[in-house]
Order: sequence, then C-alpha cells, then structure tokens
Amino acid sequence: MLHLSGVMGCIMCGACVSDCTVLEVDKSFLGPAALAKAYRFVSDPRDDSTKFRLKALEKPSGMWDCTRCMQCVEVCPKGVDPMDRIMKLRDFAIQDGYKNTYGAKHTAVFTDSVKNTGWLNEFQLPLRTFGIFNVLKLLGLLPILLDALVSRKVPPVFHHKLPSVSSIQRIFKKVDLQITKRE
Amino acid sequence: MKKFAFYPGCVSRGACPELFDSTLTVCERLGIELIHEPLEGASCTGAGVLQEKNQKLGDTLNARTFAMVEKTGLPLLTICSTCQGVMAQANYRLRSDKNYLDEINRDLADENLQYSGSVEPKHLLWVLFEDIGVDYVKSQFTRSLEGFKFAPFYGCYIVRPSDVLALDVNPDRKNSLEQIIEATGAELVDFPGKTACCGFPILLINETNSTKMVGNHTLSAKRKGADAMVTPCPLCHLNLDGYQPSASLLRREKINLPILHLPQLLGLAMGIEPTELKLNRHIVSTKKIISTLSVTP
Repeated sequence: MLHLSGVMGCIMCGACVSDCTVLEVDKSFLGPAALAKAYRFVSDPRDDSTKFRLKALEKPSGMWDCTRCMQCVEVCPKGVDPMDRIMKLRDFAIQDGYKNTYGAKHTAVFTDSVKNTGWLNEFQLPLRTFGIFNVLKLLGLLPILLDALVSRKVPPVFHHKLPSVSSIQRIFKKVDLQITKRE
Repeated sequence: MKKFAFYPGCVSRGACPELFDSTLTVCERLGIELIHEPLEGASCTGAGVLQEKNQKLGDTLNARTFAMVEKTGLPLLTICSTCQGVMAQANYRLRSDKNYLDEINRDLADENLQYSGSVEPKHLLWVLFEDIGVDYVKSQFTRSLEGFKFAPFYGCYIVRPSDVLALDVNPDRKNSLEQIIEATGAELVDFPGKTACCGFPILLINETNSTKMVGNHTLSAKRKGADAMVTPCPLCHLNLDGYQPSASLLRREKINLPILHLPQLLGLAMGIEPTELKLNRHIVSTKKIISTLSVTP
C-alpha cells in the first residue's frame, strides 16, 4: 500500500486545478485533484466499491476527458502526479471491463494497430473508435475528410506492416500478458 | 555531415507528409544526414495512449527502439514532440531502475537486442542548438522573414515534465522555438497558450473541448497579430490546422491562421521554395504567406 502514500500527500493547494488545461475550457470536468483522490480509493485493496467508482468515473467529464498534458504533474508541489493516477484509473477501468466509452475504445484500437502493424493506422483510428455503424459520428468526420482530401492530407488507406512486425507481436504476447496488477 | 538515426514517428509518414518531406530538404541543407534503415522496423512509441493500457509494454517497445539505435552507434533524432516526450519518459524509467531495465532486456533477448541506457532521444529543435549550433543554422538563412509575425506552439511533451526532459540542464530547450523564430528575422508573437495543450489527445473523446482549445490558442495568437503559428509537433499541427475551421464555426469568428511545421519555417528562411516545403498541403491556406514572400526581395 506504499503507492498510496504518494497520492495521500495532497495538501489540496489547488495548483493542479488552476493549471488544468481541460478545466480552462470545461468547468464540468472532475479535474486532476478529484481524480487523483478517486485513484486513492480505487487502488486501495480495503475499498469494496471499486466497480461503483469506476462506473461513475468513466462517465463524460470523468477520467477519459484528461488530455494527458502533464501540466498537473509539472505544478504539483507534493509529487502526487495526478495525471499518472488518471492513467492508472484508465488502466483499471479497461482491466475491469469498462470498455464501452470512446476513451477505452480509442486506447484499444490504438494498441491493436501497433500490435498488428507496428505503427499507428491513422485512417482506421476514428472509424473503429466510433464504430462503423455509428452513422452520426461518422458523418461528423465528413468535413475534415473533405478538407484533408483537398489538401492531400488523408493518411494512407492501405496501411502497411512494419518489416519486423513479428518481433513487435512477440513483445506484445510476452509483456501484455503480464497484466499490471493493482499493487 | 552529422549522422543521426532517424525516427520519423507515425504521423509524418501518415497525415503530415509535408513534415516528412520538408525535414529531408532542410536537414540536407544543414548537413544533417538522416539514416533511415536502422529504425525502419522500430515501432510506434505508444504516444502515451498505449501506456494507458500497459506502461511496461510501451517501455519495452521504446527500449527495443533504443537498442536498435545503440547498435548503430548514432544519436537518435525525431521530428515529433510527442515521440520526444514519450521516449524521454520511457528512457527515464529504464535508466533509473536497473532491475526494471534488466527485466525488459530479457524480453528483448529473443531479437538479440540489449539496451544499456546510452541513448538520448532528441527532437530536431534541440539538435539545432545542441549538435549543429544555432549560429551555423543562422548562417544558412538566406531569406529574411522580416515583416512576418510568428507565434510558437510547442506541444506538451517537449516541455513537460521538465525534469525528465532535462530543461534546467539544457536551458535553450525552454525557449528554443522563440529563438529560432527570431533568428529568421520574423517578429515573435508571445502568448500564454504556447506551452498549453492543443486538444488533440481528446479529439475522438470530447471533440467540443478539443475544438475549444484550438479556438482559444489560434485566436489568442491571431489577436496578438500573428501571421502564422510554428510547431515542432505534428499532432498539434493536425488539430490546430485541421480543426481550425470547426473552431472558427464554434467561435463564430474567422481565424485563418496557418500552422507551419518547424522545418517549413527553417526552409522558408533558407530561401527554399514554398512548394518544395509542401506549404500547399495544409488545410488552413498558406497562400497569404507565399504571396508575401514572392514580393519580398
């Protein structure tokens, strides 16, 4: 439980909240301090409300709205590293099966792309994150697609595999199986 | 010629071909020889996304890239702020825990790779100061960009966390982009958003927030008189350029602020033709810059 001591060092100075780049545009975002505090409970083995908490945290304005800009990590005077805690919350959510959010799907599709080809398939990332039957979302991509077509910035539709993709896949097989357990 | 093992990242080989091409042109002029072959099989860094699922997996993939670089004996050069930051964070963890490095090296052994911890991933922006010398870079500038006003936009991962990126040890890293802009003869437009987030990481998760960020930064620079923004991060470019029309609609205000890649700015100052730098491959038109250049002696 030593890992909890870091996050419990929060002195509620509010530096992470005042510098959060998401809160600047969206006051409904839970924010780094609250999410770090949420991590403190989710990762505590004595706590028996993990599922209830993760279910609440995966909602809009929750853990998936963080941009990972690291501003909170930079300004925190106590080494709480709120963003790192938010990343762990995402990891826990995926492990516990809370995968039906655009955030979790984005991570899954991104990871799949690196696993299967060695690098990012930019063309497929939005399509698979939204789902190919998600007509409304896909229609929303039309303006950017048209703009990208005109300026010839559409990523390759046919995505090639890197030459040594089998070695990358071997690493995935070995390391991905060693699932990060809650300390 | 100074040789580097070249790590272009995914985006310069995907949606930002103009970054890839302008990098090759500019590096040749600067005497930077980019060696492509050793890292042709190097994976994506994970961009911080894969690390959400499994940080150790990301660190292993990056250690594999570093081990490939060590085999060449060359320094590592990247052209993406995000790759720079993710690789620096992985390197920091690998170097500060010998047991962790040994554990990861065991997973690399199948490919006969071993990482000893000697690699320093460096963005082209840093290479200009630390390996080439900013005076030499300036000596290659043949076209003054006087009269233009450019705003810098770094991208989070090349400025934070400052300890991992050794900003205090290398103070030029803190204002390198401003220094380069001023070296071209252009006027620097300083604005508070230059080290903020462009919003790209949440584009598919919360498009409204992401687009608001684009609107805030581009309008803030524009209102201070900027003719263009310059970024060393292709992901920031994608959002600030590609989603600027949406931000304009959201804010009900015209923006039209071209977002240049760092090598494109260097190339313009070197007198290279805008078409060779692929300035025509942007969503926000760069025509105004090109037409001003064509009447500048």
